[in-house]
Amino acid sequence: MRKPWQRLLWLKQAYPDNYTDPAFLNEVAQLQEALSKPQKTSSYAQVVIDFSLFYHRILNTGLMYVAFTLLHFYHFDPTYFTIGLTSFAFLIAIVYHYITVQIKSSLIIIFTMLILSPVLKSLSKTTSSDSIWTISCWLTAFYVLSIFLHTDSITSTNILVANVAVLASRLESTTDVFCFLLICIEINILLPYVEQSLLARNYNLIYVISFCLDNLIAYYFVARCLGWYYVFIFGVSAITFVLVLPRYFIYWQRNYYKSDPFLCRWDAKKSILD
Amino acid sequence: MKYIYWPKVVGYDKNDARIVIALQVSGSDLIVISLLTPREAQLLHKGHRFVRVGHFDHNSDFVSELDEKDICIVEFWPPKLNLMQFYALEPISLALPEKADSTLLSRATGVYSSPKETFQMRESIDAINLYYKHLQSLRTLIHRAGPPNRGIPVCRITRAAADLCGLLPLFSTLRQALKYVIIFMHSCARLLSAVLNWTPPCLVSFSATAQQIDLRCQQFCYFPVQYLRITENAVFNRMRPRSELNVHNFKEKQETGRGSSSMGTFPCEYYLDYIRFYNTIWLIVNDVSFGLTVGTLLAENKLSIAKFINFHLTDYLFHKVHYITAYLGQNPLGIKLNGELAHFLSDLFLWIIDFSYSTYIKRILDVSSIQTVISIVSRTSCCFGVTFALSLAVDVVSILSMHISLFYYISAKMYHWQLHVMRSLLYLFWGKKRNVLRKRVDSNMFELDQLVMGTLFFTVMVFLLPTLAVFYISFTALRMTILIPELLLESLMALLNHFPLFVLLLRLKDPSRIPGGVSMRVLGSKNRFALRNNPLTVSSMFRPYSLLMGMMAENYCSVATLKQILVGQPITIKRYKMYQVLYSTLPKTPIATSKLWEALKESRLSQLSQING
Repeated sequence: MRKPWQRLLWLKQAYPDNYTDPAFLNEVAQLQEALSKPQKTSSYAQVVIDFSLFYHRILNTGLMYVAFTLLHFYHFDPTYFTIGLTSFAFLIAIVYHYITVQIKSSLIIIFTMLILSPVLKSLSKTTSSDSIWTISCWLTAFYVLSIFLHTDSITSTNILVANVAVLASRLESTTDVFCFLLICIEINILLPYVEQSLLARNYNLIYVISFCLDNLIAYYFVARCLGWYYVFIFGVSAITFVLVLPRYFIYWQRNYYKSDPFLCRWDAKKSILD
Repeated sequence: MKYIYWPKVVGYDKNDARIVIALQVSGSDLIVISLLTPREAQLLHKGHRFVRVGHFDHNSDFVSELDEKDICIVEFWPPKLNLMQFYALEPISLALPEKADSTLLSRATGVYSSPKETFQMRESIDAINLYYKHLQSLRTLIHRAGPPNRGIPVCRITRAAADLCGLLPLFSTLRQALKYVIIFMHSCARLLSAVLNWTPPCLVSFSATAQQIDLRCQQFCYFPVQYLRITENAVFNRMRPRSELNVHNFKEKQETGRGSSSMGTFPCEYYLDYIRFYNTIWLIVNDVSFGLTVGTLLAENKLSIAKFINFHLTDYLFHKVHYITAYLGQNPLGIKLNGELAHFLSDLFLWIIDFSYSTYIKRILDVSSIQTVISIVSRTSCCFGVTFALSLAVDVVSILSMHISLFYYISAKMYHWQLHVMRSLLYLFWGKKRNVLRKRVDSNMFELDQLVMGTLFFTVMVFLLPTLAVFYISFTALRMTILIPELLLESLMALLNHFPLFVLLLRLKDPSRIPGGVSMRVLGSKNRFALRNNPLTVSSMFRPYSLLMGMMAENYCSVATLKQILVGQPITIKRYKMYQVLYSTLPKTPIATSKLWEALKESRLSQLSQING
């Protein structure tokens, strides 16, 4: 009983070089058919939308740093802003008859944060700021990665909260910590929920408005703090990400991706990087 | 192949005794008992257990008269039972049989607990052990059958008993009184031991002194039993050969009941009791004599010792601990701990230190009170032995280091709780949940509020963990340091209490009293062997100690312990459980007083009967 033949060149097998597997002869007709059809690719618009959704999540994460910088470096009083944002969140929940988070649990969250904010503030006070920035940077990287892998997993939420808790120790007062926590949770957890529900209900215009608003806020802030040079860099990379990368994706899909099972099995292999 | 066991004391001599007479018992090989003259040999009946197996010819060569020609001669030195020598196939066990069979010892040493198989060799060895008895029996048999024999020892005994008659009432009164004293002391010791072993408090597991008292009580409870066994054995030894009655009995027993039942209660089984009994007594005497020396030394240098102890213990138990705890509160070694928690813990522990110092440590470590303690210890040492002094010292040290144990337990508990909570929250972090019913981890979709709360708490815990861990590690190290001197003192106590001194000396003096099996050596000519006794090896004498060492190593420095330390489970010393291994010469529960009472009554009867002849 010989070992079955495998389509692997680097394997030493007890078959002659010009051996033809009987399975190939059976399936050659279907393979011809698959080869004659043109290669299917995704539509460019769809890929761009998917990429921009991901970009939007990253932008939301960036908004967290915007809020942090405002509180930490510019000593912005967050009270009124937080009150406004929270009321706005409740308003949206009521207006759309779509209560993503129940009133009870939101109250629980708010009170927990109120209780824990002094603890969070003093938690890593002795740790030097450099360590905090490093930890926060890594947590952000993990957060983006977890969003990339699973759009709505528990882990990403958890990493975000951990990141916020780490950053909170650098703030001035307990009120700041509380407001920062609340803002971050609203921006990064509630806002994506709302936006997804907008998309699901085909309120595309409102979604586009919120997307533009996000961009506007983020770039305005970068322009105010770091200057137009950084705006340019960020803008170019964002445009590359949203508009150019999908092109490359489709190119790759057309040339290298084998969706058909017969093609997958019998097609001549090509190296992925030319 | 026929084996003939040949005692080295039997050989061709100048007399005309040339007929070789051997013992033939079912199941055993032939054992040569003696040489007889042809006239004496005539007196032996056919079908008797003593049979003629051969004779010496004119060249003084042994000529076999057996049917089987293929014979093998095994020479041996007959063991002298009155000197407590004997052969044994298996190494004798210094531990009591019930202890030797108990799971711990057999598991550790792989000693078989199956009943001893019966085979020819064993039967032969049993017969060899009784060689002199058989010899006596043969002689009496011949003398009885033959012409009038020498003076009967029974006469002498009766005469001696008659002489004693005047003193007899006095003796019996004294004996009665002694019996009541023994019963009274036995019940006291038993009660004390029961109180000390009383669970829930179970004093023996806390205090070394209680353990020591318990040990002595148990030993004391066992003494009468051991003594009775030894004396009964001695009586048994003396009685048989002297009176013909007993030879009759013995013979009848041999012929009717026989076998293993009467031989099973061999005198040599009680030699072990003898060894154990005198070992214990010797150790106690040693203990007391050491105690006298140490006690005197302590009493003489009371002041300087007190000053020394006062200075060093105050330094180590108060100042150093105080310094370390205070240091932990201020970012030790540059590690950035959580300031608030570190301050809180440090303050808490400092408060306990101050409290315990001002309440009792200061008072105990006062020079005058140390002197009192030392004088108590020295007196105890003089009266009860150095082990009591050591156990008192161990207890004093553990009382003085109580605050450190307390810190250890507190920090271990906190650390353990924290780890436990963190594990649950970590499951939550990954969206999982422990299923208690199925004992596994399942995925679970949590509500947003649960998630956010859990994560906030988890973050808090992660940042607080290093602070707690630092406290936990330092106090664990402190506690381990305190444990080392205690362990050393306890090991010394264990040595003094259970050292196999008697057996070691027997090994030097008379190795055939502690048989550890037999070996056969080929002698020059063909088919001649010598049976030799292998004395007990030193390692088997110290087996309880090696077991204890193994247990200690397992308890204090093993991977399992390290794991326990890492997860914050408090390490408790199962001291009593550990030293139980050494109690191998003591029964698990002391004998009931009523049983002892009955045994004493019976022994009186047997001893009286012995005196009366």
